[in-house]
Amino acid sequence: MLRLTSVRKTFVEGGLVREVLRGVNATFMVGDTVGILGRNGAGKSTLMRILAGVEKPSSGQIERNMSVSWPLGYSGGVHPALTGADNARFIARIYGRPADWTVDFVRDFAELAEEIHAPVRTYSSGMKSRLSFALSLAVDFDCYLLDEITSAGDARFNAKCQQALLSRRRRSALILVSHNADTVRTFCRYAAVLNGGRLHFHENMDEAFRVYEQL
Amino acid sequence: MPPTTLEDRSFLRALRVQLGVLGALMMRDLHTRYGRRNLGFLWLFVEPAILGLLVGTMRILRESALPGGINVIAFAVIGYIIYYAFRGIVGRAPTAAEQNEPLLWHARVTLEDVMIARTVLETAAVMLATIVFLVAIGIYFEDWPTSWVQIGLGIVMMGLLAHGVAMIVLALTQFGVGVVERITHPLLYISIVFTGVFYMVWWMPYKFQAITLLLPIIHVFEFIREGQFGPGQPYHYDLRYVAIWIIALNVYGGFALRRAKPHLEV
Repeated sequence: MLRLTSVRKTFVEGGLVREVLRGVNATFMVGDTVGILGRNGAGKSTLMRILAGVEKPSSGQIERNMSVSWPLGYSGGVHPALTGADNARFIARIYGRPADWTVDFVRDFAELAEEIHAPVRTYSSGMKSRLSFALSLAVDFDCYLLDEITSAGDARFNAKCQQALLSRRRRSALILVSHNADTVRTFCRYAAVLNGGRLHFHENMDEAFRVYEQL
Repeated sequence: MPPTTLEDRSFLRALRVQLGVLGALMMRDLHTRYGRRNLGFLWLFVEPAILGLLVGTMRILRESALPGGINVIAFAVIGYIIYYAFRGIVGRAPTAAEQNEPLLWHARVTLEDVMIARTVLETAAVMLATIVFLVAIGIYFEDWPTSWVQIGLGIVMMGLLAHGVAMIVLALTQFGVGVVERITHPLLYISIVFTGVFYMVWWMPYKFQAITLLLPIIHVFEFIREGQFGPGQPYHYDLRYVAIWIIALNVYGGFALRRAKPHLEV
């Protein structure tokens, strides 16, 4: 279970106080698949970083009883100066997975072949997103945080990701940030709209999109 | 797929996670800093060796010996390598956050871990280089250290002092004191002159001795030199004074880094 209670986040930039999250309440359970909709600058990536535990909220509580992935689909999590294999070994070490197995799994799943021994900065954006997605699958998290990851790969790899995610729907939670209605409908059972620093949940997908489009 | 153990929350497991993170960061540093294929690691030996040879040649040409009749090359090389640890740890501090930013996206990896991994690696590398040079000097000049343990302890103290300073430097950089990044390197170079890398306290005029001994790093150098050259020279050090500095710098540095963290987020 991952529970947020009155989570607030304020940034101070050049003397200006910017309130990004103003009391977010949410509970995510294993098996939940939630799409988060929000306009640019609504604080989606801040929320993802807080869910991942990378960033501390200014106030409020977070209860985290499951392993949560790092936010996928951003540039973070993978070091560009290291090779794909070294990144895999790094992640295997910090999350306590067998290193050689992780390298093999990632090379096969991300279809990197010999490129896995090249520095990540030489990868195409599709290769990068394949790598970080494969890395997160190798760790086997209880909860996955994704930002539009399916838009970066090609159609065949997207299908593969989709299958991997759908097959673990029972034992993992999925929190997906997206602008794309089709993506959210494919992966998620319900949706939430992040607006004005608050998160509003909608059981009904159509209703969520109606609210989102009126923003 | 191998079974996952992420749910277990015991203390031993937390310790294993912490050690796993530090190990991973050290491997990462080894790869990017010293390189896997090129001979980056060799520089750790080449730089002090060149310096030692230059200083030694200069002294021989000028036919001047060091006070107390100690081995010139041994004195210069060991002094410089150990200073190298301090310079390496503090000098790389300003870039610690941005160089590891992608890795900080893993909740288990903190800036404190990054700093600890760097300090341990740098100290261990310098320890290794010191041993190699001491053995070489021992074989060539038949001049062996009096106490290996004392030299080792001294290097550890140097690492701990540098760690505290490095955390403070990194925190200041994060607070947007941009000037810190620019003056760190010049300051480190100037500090060679007054941190006891190339002199001993008893060579100083008496009235300067008390002033030089305000710097804890000088005590560490004197302590290491006692381990290297043994009795027969007057050494000036107070390990309690060094310990107080180590604790003060690390506690203050730890708090400063904590305060600086919100400024790290992009």
